[in-house]
Amino acid sequence: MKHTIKWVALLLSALLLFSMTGCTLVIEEEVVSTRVIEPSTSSTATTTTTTAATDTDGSTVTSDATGTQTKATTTTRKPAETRTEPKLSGKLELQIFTNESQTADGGWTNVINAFEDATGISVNAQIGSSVNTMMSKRWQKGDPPDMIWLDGSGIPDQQYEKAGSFYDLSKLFNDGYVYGTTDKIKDVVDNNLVQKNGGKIYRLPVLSTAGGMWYDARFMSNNGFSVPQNFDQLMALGAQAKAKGYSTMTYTGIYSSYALSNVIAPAVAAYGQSYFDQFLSGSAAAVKDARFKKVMQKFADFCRTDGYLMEGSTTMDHTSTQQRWINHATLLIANGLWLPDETRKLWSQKSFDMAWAPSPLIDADQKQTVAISGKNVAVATKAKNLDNALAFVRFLYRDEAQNWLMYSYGYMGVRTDMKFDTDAFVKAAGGTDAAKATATALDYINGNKVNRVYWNESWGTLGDEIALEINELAMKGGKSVDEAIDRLASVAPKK
Amino acid sequence: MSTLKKRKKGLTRSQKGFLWALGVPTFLLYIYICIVPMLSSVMDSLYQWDGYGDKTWVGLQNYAEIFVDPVFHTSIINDILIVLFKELIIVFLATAFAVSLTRVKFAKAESGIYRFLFYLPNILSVIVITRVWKFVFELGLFDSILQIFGINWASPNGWLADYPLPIIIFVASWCGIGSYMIIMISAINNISKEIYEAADIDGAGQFRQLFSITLPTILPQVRYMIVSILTSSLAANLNLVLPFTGGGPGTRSYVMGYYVYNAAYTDFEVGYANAAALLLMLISVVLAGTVNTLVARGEEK
Repeated sequence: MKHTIKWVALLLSALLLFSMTGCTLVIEEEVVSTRVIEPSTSSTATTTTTTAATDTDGSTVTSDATGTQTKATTTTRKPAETRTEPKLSGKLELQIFTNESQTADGGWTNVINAFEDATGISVNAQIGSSVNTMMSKRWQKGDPPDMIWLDGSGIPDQQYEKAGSFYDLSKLFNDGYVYGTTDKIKDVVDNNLVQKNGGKIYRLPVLSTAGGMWYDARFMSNNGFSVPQNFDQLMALGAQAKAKGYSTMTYTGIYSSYALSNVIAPAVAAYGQSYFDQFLSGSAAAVKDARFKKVMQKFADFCRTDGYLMEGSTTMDHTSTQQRWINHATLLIANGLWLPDETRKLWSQKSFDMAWAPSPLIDADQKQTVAISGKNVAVATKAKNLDNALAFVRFLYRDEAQNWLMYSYGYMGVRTDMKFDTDAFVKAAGGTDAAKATATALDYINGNKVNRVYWNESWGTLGDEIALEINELAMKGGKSVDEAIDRLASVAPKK
Repeated sequence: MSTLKKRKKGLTRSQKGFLWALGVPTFLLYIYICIVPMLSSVMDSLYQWDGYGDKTWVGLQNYAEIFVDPVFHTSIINDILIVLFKELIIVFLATAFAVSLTRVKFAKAESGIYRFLFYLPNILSVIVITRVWKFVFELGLFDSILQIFGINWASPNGWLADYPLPIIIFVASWCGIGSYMIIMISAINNISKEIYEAADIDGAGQFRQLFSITLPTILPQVRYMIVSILTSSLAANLNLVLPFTGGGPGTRSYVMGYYVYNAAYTDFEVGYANAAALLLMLISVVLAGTVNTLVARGEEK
């Protein structure tokens, strides 16, 4: 009896200690902090003379052009003509979520410093990964910051918009000018990315992004694997990889919207903008449509074939899936464009050649498709410094602001007149491996190999419902596709 | 004599002052912290509200929708299963370990080490605990342990995906054993040694002593343990489920707390979440009351 108890106790203790030791190998601490960027006096990018009196949305053009200096741009067009801006002063408060494993802070800092130098406005930027949670009380109390970057979790942006807390930016978009230039915002920003609500614009895109899959090109090549471009090739790769002891794909099951955004939605978008719009509108008919069913069936067929989906994916978080993928437990990972930067510490020491491909959940006769979505800003209706906020939004469309933010986020800009230049991007982003990987993805997305379909509408809670069903479909013994779609169709109208 | 009469009439002025001084602020604080939010929650549950904009009166519609939602049913069943198995595992193991560490002749240092190790999970944060066990089940350590014993069980979708509830029950129990074991040890140590010595002289063996002396004497603590596990589990299951499985795969490991959390913070249906929270409270009160009564009756018998 005594010995048995001792052995049980020792076994439990050893298990605890052993697993804790292992845990330290996998936990990468998430940094959570909020910093305030103090007003800077440094001059980094632009100087704009601010003498003439014009409307604050920049809708009145003055004839005097002042010398505007720009820096590090990927654009190949000639520089925009300059225009004089009205004199502004005072303060501006910003709410900017950044995942601090990215280098986004640096991009925003450059933009803010340049804006301060150009306008004399003192910017108080609440930046960090917990800023959305911290600022939510202020939104509820009617004391919001002047401008908000709609990124990260914890922003009930649909609720804010519905409650009238976002300022109507329609006039700014339709008549306003890019700060300090004669470029009209409406003429240079990709209009397809602009979300409208009842004909009005409450949020404006500053960057754009698209989802897909990442892989290690060197590893794939060394093993004789080809990157799948359609579902048949994906299944063929599954068999080939399984024979060599690898699974083919993983996604972050605990946040299954990763699979939804990166492989399922683009495959739905491959049926064209019109159907994709219907689908996003949450219509039950679009959900029950044979095209959506076909995509979901492909996903289920792939995941339920033994050994194709990485084991345990459905309950893993992003850290676990990414780490296992980097260790080559699986070939492909469904993830957004931020992956190279987010995981740079994990793969920088490895012989890893990170590359990107669009969703393979399409038929062989369909063209590869990306669903492009905007990353938006909104201005608070109760902004204490409304004019300054509007000026800042216009400033975000300047060449250098677009470039700084593109480099730092690894996303695309939104100006149609700026041609993407891979070399310039890599150089400006510091020439890192992460920058090279991101640039390759952006090059692919901007190239002719893919259809570009726009994802310019939120699908509300329907997205969460689909995310739930994704895991069901990925499980062997889970729901049938028909069962999942029936349930989705029943909740779709509630969107 | 006159003082005695005064005492018979009631409290002295000083005593009354003392009670008012302590009781009134406490009562007001209780109203402010507990009663007001509860009433506010009851009111909000009757509205359709996203937590930010205007409220729309819907009466009992939120409750009606919750009652027919199969996910809510799954959540209740999961909660009950977790509590039931936690009760069985913790009560049995905490008692067994406590008896072992007090009645089996371990060296003092040896006993101290085991107490520390069994209590350790109680001082770890939930996040650390989930990371540890996710590592065990996700990355193949559990498979390796099974293989040591010659067991080659395969889990088609991964252990956490195929058996989320048993794993949550196991980990929740693992976390809970230590603190209850300490309570049991304390209870057993309070039993007079003379009773055991008398039993030894009468020829009672260890098992006879366990069932005839130890267990009957620590029954009040066992009762406390049962009720305490029940109430703490219903409130705290969310803490484990959220980082462990996120309620998944699908809704397979949803518990009522997660159901409320999801409605409030993912779907921003705050009115609906309040209705679900009130139902959770009601279910908890009914369950705790029932168990408490049953255990008390059992104890009396």
